[in-house]
Amino acid sequence: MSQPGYAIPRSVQEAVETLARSTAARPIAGGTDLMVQMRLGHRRPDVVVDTRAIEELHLLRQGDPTVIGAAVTLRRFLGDAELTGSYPALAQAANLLGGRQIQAVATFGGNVCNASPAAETATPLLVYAAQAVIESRGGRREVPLTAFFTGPGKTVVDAGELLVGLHLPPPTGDERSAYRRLELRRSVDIAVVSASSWVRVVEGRIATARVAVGAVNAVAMRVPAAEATLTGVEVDDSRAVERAIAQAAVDCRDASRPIDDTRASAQYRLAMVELIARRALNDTILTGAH
Amino acid sequence: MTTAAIHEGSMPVTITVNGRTEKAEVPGLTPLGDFLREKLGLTGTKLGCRAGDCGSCTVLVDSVPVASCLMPVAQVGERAVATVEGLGGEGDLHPLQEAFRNNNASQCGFCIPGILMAATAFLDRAEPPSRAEVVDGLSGNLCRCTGYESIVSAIVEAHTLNREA
Ligand SMILES: Cc1cc2nc3c(=O)[nH]c(=O)nc-3n(C[C@H](O)[C@H](O)[C@H](O)COP(=O)(O)OP(=O)(O)OC[C@H]3O[C@@H](n4cnc5c(N)ncnc54)[C@H](O)[C@@H]3O)c2cc1C
Ligand code: FES
Ligand code: FES
Repeated sequence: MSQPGYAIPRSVQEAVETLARSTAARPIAGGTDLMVQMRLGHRRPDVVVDTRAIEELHLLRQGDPTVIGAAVTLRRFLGDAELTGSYPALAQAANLLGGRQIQAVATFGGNVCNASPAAETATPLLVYAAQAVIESRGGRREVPLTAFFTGPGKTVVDAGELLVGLHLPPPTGDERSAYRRLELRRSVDIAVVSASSWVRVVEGRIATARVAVGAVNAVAMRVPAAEATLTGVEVDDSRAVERAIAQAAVDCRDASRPIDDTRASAQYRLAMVELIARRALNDTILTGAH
Repeated sequence: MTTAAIHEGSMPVTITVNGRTEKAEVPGLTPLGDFLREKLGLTGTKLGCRAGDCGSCTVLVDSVPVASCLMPVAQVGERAVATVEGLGGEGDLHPLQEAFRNNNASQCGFCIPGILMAATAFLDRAEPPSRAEVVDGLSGNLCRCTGYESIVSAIVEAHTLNREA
């Protein structure tokens, strides 16, 4: 097969115009998924559009909204004490993704657009209620992350579209969050099961809860039943908290339809999702004064 | 509305490697590691898994360790590449190379260029790294021979040698 063409646009506009020239064109960011997939023949773009020179994709700032540009690397985010302090579940997930060499180039945009059901940043971004900002020749649209993933390796980002970045609501100061995963080998492996949770405590009660699980369905997803279980619970009533956490973890298991693959059997994933969800919730509600 | 130039087939690439500016015509997606070995003859950089797992292909791009098997050469741009050839040689060993020799930290040697480059990240700090920090910093490098203990000792020692130098 002939080598794909290579383009280095300087702006979002140039990038979407270039992507629009062929339905088989694809962006490339850190290449840590795409280079491997192309070598194995799993993806065969005819043109790759390098996103590194597009300034807007490198935006990273806390605010209203917090902006994480699609081409921001995990290392850059991890080096920002304000952001890692405000979004601890995202920092914990980013820190577990690959070794140093991978984190140096792997991007947030690449992680969500690759859309692995186990994608490390997916469950934290889901519980932080992230919005994906997507641009095409027709203009810009925002899609909540809950509607972003459509299947393994599939997202709402169509051919000709570019993910510009992720928008997160600013931290309010009365919230706590955490991420947990189960892996077979550190640094070279993605999660067998992962979970993130986020709660907002107002006047001693859980006013809002968000829970998400990864690698146990076709897409990473929120678990509304678990969120309902947690809502209203008094955080100083340790027996009520314990009961709610145990039930929410069961809700996560009930919402899971895992598959068998080379990393783990469906049965094992089902057993582990309850445990990992419980750990994430324990970190969030009991230990997590984040 | 303008589109960016699409380079079909080969494209001109200019990159700086170990302080020297190099030019070539290659497909933009050529992995940096292949470019170094095939086009520039810098075969010190080893390609093992070609999938980001083993770290044997680690080079520095603007002083940051990256896997050269996954970086398209066209993406390097203006950034400075450093390979193991730039560290030092016979009679002029880099503190890391000296410490690896002192500790017999290399067996078959295949992983070593990548580990040396990843380890440069430890040298500039004020305090010597702990063994645990070295292990964490080498999380992206695999060695099939040594069991890592001698490698970790060498990197801790290299920090001292580097301070004294
Ligand atoms: C050794 C190793 C370990 C890994 N460990 C983990 C792990 O633990 N957890 C995990 O989740 N992942 C892991 N990965 C996978 C990978 O590193 C991550 O998914 C990474 O975040 C991908 O980012 P990237 O910039 O390299 O993406 P790329 O490979 O450049 O792109 C990935 C996909 O996203 C698309 N894309 C990129 N940018 C955009 C954009 N702006 N708009 C639209 N589409 C875009 C590309 O077309 C491509 O389909 C690992 C990979 C390796 C090699
Ligand atoms: S060859 Fe690059 S990481 Fe193995
Ligand atoms: S010395 Fe042989 S792989 Fe490390």
